[in-house]
Amino acid sequence: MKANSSTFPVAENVQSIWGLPLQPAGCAHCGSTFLVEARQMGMRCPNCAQGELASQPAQLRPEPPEKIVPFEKKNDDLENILRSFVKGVWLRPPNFNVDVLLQRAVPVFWPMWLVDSSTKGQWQADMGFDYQVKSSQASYAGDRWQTREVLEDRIRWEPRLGQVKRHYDNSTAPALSEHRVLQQRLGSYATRHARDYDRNLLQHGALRVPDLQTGQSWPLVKPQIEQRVAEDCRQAAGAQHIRDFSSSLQHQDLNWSQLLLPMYFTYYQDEHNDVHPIYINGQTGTAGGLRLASQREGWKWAGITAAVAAGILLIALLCFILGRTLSQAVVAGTLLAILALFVGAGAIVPAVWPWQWNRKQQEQKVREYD
Amino acid sequence: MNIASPSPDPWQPPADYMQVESKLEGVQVYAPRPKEDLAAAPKTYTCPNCGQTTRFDVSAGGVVCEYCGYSVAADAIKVGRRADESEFTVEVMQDASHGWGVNRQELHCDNCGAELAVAPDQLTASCPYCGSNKVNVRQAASDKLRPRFLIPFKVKREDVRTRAAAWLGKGWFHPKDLSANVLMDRFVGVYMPFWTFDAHLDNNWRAEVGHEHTTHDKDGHPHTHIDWSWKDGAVTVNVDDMMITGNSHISHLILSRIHPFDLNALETYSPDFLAGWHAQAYDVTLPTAWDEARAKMRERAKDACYGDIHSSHVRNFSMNSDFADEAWRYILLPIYLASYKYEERAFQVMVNGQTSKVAGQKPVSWLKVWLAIAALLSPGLVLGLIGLASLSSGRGMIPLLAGFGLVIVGLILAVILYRKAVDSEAA
Repeated sequence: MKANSSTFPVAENVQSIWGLPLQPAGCAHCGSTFLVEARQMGMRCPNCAQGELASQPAQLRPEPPEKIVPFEKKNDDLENILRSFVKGVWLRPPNFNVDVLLQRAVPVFWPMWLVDSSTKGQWQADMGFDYQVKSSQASYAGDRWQTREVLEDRIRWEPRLGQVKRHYDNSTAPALSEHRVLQQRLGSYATRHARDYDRNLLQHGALRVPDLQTGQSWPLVKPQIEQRVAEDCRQAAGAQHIRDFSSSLQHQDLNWSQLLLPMYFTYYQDEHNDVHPIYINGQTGTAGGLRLASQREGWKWAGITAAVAAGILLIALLCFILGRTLSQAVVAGTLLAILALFVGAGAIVPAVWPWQWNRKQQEQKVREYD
Repeated sequence: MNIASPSPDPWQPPADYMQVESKLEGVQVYAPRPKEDLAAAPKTYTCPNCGQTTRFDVSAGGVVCEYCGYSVAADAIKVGRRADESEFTVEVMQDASHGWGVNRQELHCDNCGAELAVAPDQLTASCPYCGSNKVNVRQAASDKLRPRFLIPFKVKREDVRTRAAAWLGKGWFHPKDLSANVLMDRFVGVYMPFWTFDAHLDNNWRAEVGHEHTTHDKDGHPHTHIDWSWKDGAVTVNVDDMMITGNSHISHLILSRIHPFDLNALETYSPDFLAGWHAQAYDVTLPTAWDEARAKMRERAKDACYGDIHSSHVRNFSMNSDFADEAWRYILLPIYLASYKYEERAFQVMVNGQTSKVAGQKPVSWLKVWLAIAALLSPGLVLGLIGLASLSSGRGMIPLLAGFGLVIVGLILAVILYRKAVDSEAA
């Protein structure tokens, strides 16, 4: 099925899409659009977790997605994934725990564009051909030489040029403006495991609607096609390496379709009630998102530790008073005073740790969005 | 959506590119066209003006017709030591181990149509029917193994005769009538095959090195001791253009005496240089020559390591040499060859075709040599005998010792003279 326009028809007041009981819905907070079942209307937005999904018109392609990467991680796997995700954080906010995250987890498919193109044009590159040379190592001992032959691998670079006229199917391109962030958090997908569209694979999941039109995605997919052309040219030349590839290509008969990738979405609130989304790759189980510690918990444990230290110090003072009559009590009092000092100093750890941990998490977030 | 830029003309590859096999449908591949190796094709040298045979002339530095004066410069470029070198690729080493090629070359004479049989180690031939000169290097086992560079003859045949006659007359321990009786006018100019080798050797040595120190005992007598300690070091050796002859039949001893050749005069191979001259292909294969060169390089590296040890006391020496950047060339060098007979014995002579340095075998007048040896030893013997006779009078010790010293000196000189005489006849 060909769809060569860069804008799509607007779906409004529809009850089924691609043969599925799906309706367009949007989040007023982040502006993202989904296709959900009617019963899912009003659910927490599976993108920002801050707004709720409400029925709204959406720009939609009439044809169903071409390929779907199915969920390989089931709910049972999810518990273990979340457990190891949460495990590294010491002083967690109260609802940053496996049970809450598991309860809030929803399956979501997020889209990428698949582009087919008929590409032709000219190319030029340096092709590298592997070859071996014989070298040697000699050793002398006891008035005798021993020589050992050594084979060294080298690359011979030769210029090549030519023409290409080939069809390239299913080059992938981002369909969401936050594609890069999602990819960083979810890791890569083995798209070779993608299956042809089957409505049964989409059941119970929310489907994210592309917010990048094909015209916007084209500059992102073009380098990928050129890379595939370069690889084909290398193969055609019988070379093992390629460098300085340049080309003048024409891409015709572009056919755009969707590839849907599986993920689980869940979220938690920190002590300030700020919502933090967590994304889990539905194929590999890679989880991504901010894992914040609770400063409030930190203060609490610092206070408890300081109180324990104060208690010990109090006992130590009592021992000193007792020491006037019982000399051994002075020794016990001294030891307890030292212990109180150490425990008191240890109170700084829970006080400082959340701040340090959260700062690293925020730095990581900044890197992801750069 | 179509994203296309207009292309006004059908694409054409550059003129110096040719289409090569593509391993993928839909992709055409063009590679630089290999330079046409005209040198590889057999070439017949006849004058375009008068049809007579032409040949390379040293004075003219090109191909000349001796009949009508037609002359054309040799089609070559002077490259010197910058001449391309080849690597020891597995492919070339396999090809090289097969030798030059077939047992017998069939060469077609374009001039008269005759079919000639040429010995496999000959790169040139003259047609026995029409006399035209031919140059043929087609039979190499691999393109790489054809001569690609040569030093053309710089010394004229007439000059060679003069230089050789002068060389024959030199030396007092040769027969007096040698230069007068020997006729040496059949000098044959031959391009001889040589391999040149480069390598970079990283060497690590380890040895026990001794340092002398002297102590004195309680009586004040000095005693020298050697303190041994383990030392190690690293030495780098660069070898540039080590030459190994590619011909096993030629006398290596005489050849070594007409060295060196100045490789700065290397020119790209052109059959023009070989027209009318003899040229031989190698019969010492590249792997064999490389083995010889490598052995010499190893010894050079060993000497360099010993040179790095600042002591004459060394034991348990060991070293490792790592070869890198190994490269080789196959070149042709100009040599005049001749032989002459004296008293029914044959003697070889060679002349460096670039520098005119002469070397060869010369008969020795052994009577002269033995007389000279006797003359060298007799003063010492006589003085020694006088000393012996005078011992009883108590004054013989000094002449005896002086005589002994003179005998030793005479013996050394006699051995040097004897060896020189033997070398003079050796080939």
